[in-house]
Amino acid sequence: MGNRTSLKKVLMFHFVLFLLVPIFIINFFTFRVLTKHWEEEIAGRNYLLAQTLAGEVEEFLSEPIHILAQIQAVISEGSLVNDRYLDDYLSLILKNYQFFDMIQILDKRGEVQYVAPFNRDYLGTTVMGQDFFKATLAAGQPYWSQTFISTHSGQPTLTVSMFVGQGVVVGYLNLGKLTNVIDRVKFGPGSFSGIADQSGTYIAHTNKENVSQRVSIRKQEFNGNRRTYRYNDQGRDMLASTAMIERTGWSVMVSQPYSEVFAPVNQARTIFLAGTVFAWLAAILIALLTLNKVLRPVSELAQKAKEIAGGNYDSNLQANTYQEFSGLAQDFVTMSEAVKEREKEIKSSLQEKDVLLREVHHRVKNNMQVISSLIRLQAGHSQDRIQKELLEESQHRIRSMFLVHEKLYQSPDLAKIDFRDYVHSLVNGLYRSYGADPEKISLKVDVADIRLGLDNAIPCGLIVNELVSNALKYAFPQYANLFENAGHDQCGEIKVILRSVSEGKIELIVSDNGIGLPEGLDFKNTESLGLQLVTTLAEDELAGEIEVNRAEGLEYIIRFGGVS
Amino acid sequence: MNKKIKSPLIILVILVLILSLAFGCSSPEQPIKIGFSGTLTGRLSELGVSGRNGVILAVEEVNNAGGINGRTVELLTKDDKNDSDVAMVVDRELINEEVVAIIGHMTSTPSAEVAPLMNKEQMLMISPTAATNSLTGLDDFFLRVFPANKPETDKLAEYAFKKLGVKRVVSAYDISNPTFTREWHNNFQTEFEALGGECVLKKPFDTRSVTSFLDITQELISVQPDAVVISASAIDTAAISQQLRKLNQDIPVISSTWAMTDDFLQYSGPAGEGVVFAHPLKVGNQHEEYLTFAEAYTARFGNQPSFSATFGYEAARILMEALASSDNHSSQALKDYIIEKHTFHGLQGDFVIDRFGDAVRDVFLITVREGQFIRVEQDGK
Repeated sequence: MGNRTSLKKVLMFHFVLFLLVPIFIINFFTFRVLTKHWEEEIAGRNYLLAQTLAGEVEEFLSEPIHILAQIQAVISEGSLVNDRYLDDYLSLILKNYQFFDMIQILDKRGEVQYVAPFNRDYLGTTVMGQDFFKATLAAGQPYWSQTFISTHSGQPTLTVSMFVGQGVVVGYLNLGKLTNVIDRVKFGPGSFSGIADQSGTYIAHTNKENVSQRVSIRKQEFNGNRRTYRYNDQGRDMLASTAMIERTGWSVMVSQPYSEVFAPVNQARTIFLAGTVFAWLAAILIALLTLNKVLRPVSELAQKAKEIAGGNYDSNLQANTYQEFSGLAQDFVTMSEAVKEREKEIKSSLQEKDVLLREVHHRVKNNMQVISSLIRLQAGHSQDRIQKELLEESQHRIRSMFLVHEKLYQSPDLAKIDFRDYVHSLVNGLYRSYGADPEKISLKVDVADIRLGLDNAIPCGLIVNELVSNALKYAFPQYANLFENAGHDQCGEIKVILRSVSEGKIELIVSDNGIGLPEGLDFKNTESLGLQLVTTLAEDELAGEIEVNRAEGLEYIIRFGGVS
Repeated sequence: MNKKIKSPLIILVILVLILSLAFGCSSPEQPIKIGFSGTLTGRLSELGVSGRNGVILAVEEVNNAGGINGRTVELLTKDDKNDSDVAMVVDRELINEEVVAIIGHMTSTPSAEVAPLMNKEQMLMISPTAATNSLTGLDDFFLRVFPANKPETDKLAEYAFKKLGVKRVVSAYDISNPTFTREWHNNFQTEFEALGGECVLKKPFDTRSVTSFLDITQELISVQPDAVVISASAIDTAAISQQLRKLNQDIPVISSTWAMTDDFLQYSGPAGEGVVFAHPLKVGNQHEEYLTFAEAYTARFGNQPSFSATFGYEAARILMEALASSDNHSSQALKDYIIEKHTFHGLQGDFVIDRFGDAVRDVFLITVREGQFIRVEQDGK
């Protein structure tokens, strides 16, 4: 019984299995799909942003080129042959187009021929050693330099230069203007956008210091071949999108902390996680409540069944939420009431039978007592001593039998008698009948607390009657006549013992310390009716065995079974 | 009841664990912070920017190789704006940010200014390029991988006097970095005059306020010197060289180490040809370590490493070697390691850091020929 699986555990397990696992699986896969979708959408959005910025930078770049081309055309036409006019023209350009910090016109050796704003220091100096000059001569087309510190402003700068007939026109670009393009994009903390030149040095950045300090883009920050990618920035996971500007080889980058970009995803994850945990907790709570509702009536029914088995029919079962359990509880109450009614009827019937049985025993006892009295009267009228004795013996036998009936109807259960009480009543009657003095012939009754049924009580009673009568009659001849034996000292003793010797086995011992059986008398083959009765009763009625011990006085031991 | 609900609870715990694993969580070890202070903005920023780039390369290499004993290195960079007050402020910021050591400063003036602070705070500072003699021979927390300038000025003075036959020199120096330039000028002048030469004109200028290098140059040549000695940044040395060329002055120019960067070649162009330097950088260095470094640097930053990048890289490597040597990252422990190790294998071969934390290196005479730095002894002219 103890090894059987608990219904509650099984039901709980199924609740958990069929509620929690699907919740987890659904949430897990839904989240995976959503995350992928969001990632693609965000990556696409960031790349679009980078492309937009690149477009704006392209637009920004086209203007300086246009201006330089204009200067180139003016010089080529030779309309401004006068140096002063050319200086003025350049100054005017510089004033109108403030993305230039300085414009120089160089000869083919790189010597500064004209400079705006005018600075005599620059005139005649050479930029021959500078990369942009060499590259412009080599390329023959507009060239965008890497960043370097401007001798003019002392700040990082870059140049755009163009080959003109006899030399090069070069514009020193104000990087602040590029920064304005970047600044239009507003990000959260930790995010940035930037433009890096062909060497990877920032020429515009959300953090201005990265430009002023000529910080180089990191390898992991930049991957021109990939539109959107992840990288690690000193422990921070970043998502970057890069768009290239073909004309200059610059790259425009938009970079955001992964946590910020995917804040909605993280929020959704938190919601999913919290939702999953909440759903789990709710599922477990519902399971517990439901199981409690289901199992409580079952437990109550089991408890009530136990109580009914114990005789308590106070069926007070509470109504249950579930129709099935309410019906069951109602049926159970009906059933317990029916059982209660039937038990009442049975008890009543038993009581009637009990009364009847007592009455029967009473009447049997009365009838037998009448018979006994009649025999006794008959004996009183008989002159023949032998006949009288025979009648008295018969009366004793009948008495031993009606005493059983008397004890039976006095007994609480009507089926068994208290044999000790019976033996006392029987033997006391015999003492009186035979006029034995209990002080001379003492009686010792040692009967265990054994209750005998009618089947055993009557044979046992008859046996005790016969053996005690024999003892009173024959065992102590010295006391046969009280008057003759007055003053005799030695006491006789009769013992009646009834005890249990093993399970279901009873031993009845009747003994005396009298003179014993005559020599040579076989108690089983004797003319004595009493002894014949004893043997017959012991062996036939009780299905037992009889043993005589003559060592000291006389001792009969009868063993029989069948007593529960 | 507890027993009855045990099974579902176990399942719940298992599912939560699965969920945790599915979403993932980890807590990496804290990085080791090191600081960098140098001039990163303005006219004099070339030294600082290159030095910082050298340090960045070294840090990235160590991190890419798995960090220091499994911990990554985080580099915090600060701009001292070539201003001693700013230098004090940014160094305090780095100390407050709990860096284990600071690499910097790149110029002598802020280095000399912050050295007492480093000693007070017991914060190790390793300078890649500060050459001032004022910090030489001191048992302090200021270490460096660049030699003090005395051997350099001695060598230049001797070369100018004996080899070039220069007897009269004029000297221009930028007092925006006075600790270095004044000291350099004085050392040169002392040695040059000891040899029998004469410094006929001293022309201090402040690059932050100078309006015309043409005027300065005209003043310098007005006394008809045999040579011009310049102690200034690459841009300013180039600017004076350009003005000299413009004025058709074909006289020798002797420059301090400070200017010997790629920028000088760019800005001076042909005017830089023949300018002489004395420098611990082995020009034309063919050491395998150097070539590997130069290749990595060019790939990373798009240009050739200058001397400050080279020495910045070496300073960072030495610091990270000391950090890797022990879990004790106190400045005292790091300093002790460096002083005890004494000889280091650098990008240009072995060099020594003595018991005062000063680098001892050979100094080479270098000049510019066809837009390149070459050793004087290799110069055919």
